[in-house]
Amino acid sequence: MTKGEVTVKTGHSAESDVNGLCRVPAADVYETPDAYVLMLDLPGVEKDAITLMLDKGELRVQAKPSEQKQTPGRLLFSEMRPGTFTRSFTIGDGIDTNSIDAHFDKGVLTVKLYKNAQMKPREISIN
Amino acid sequence: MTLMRWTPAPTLPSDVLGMQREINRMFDSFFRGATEDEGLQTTPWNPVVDVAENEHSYVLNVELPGVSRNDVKIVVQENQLTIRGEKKQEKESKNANYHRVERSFGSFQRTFSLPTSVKSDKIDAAFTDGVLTVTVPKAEEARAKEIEVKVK
Repeated sequence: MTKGEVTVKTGHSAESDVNGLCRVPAADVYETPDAYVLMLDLPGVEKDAITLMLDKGELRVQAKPSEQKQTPGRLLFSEMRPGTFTRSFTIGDGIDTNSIDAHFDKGVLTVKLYKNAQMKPREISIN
Repeated sequence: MTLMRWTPAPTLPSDVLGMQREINRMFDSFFRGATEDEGLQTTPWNPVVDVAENEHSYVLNVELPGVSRNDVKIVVQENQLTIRGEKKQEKESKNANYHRVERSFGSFQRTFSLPTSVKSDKIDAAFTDGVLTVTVPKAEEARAKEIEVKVK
């Protein structure tokens, strides 16, 4: 791992909601020449219920599924895991922390972390 | 029952590989929240479903993050309700270099048997924030009726 990278912290997180339940959302991480892109599955969450916190090189995502989205009535069977979605990522020095884009659509959170100038590939011309 | 000889360690390399695969699968299913019958699934992706019953209807909630409304089909045939569709991998550019892929892609299908006492022509579906909600109304005769019993 080089210093500038964005990496996923261990699946578990110390964070949990009041019930002590936390759920690890599936995440994709990819790199383009100018950015790192994180995509997280957060089904059943409303945009306003998502918190993205950048603190000391750690980006933490927390999202509580909305109460109304929970299946009403008596559950006949349930495969969904209860709890607040929680996941953390380590953000290296190569990221310009002032320009982070986040976008939420169809239950998927996309976070774009732009690389700073030193991290971008630069072609050197041959004289 | 007979006593079986116990082999303390796998001797063949294929056993080691198989074990490694099994451990990887366990980790994968743990972090992805896959269901226990994962080993039996025929499609690569089995979306997670909750089914509930209330006074008026049966409600199915299916987690389909990243799936477009137009890519989902709900079909009712006889007493079977099938939800099928496809999730396409949203590729931003050809230059994308993946470091980690945990999210599921591809086609999916889940089928449910409906009780006979439902109004299958009145099934309603809504799709919000990556959750598909299918409401199957109960027929009149299936609803619990309150009968007042007079105590003499």
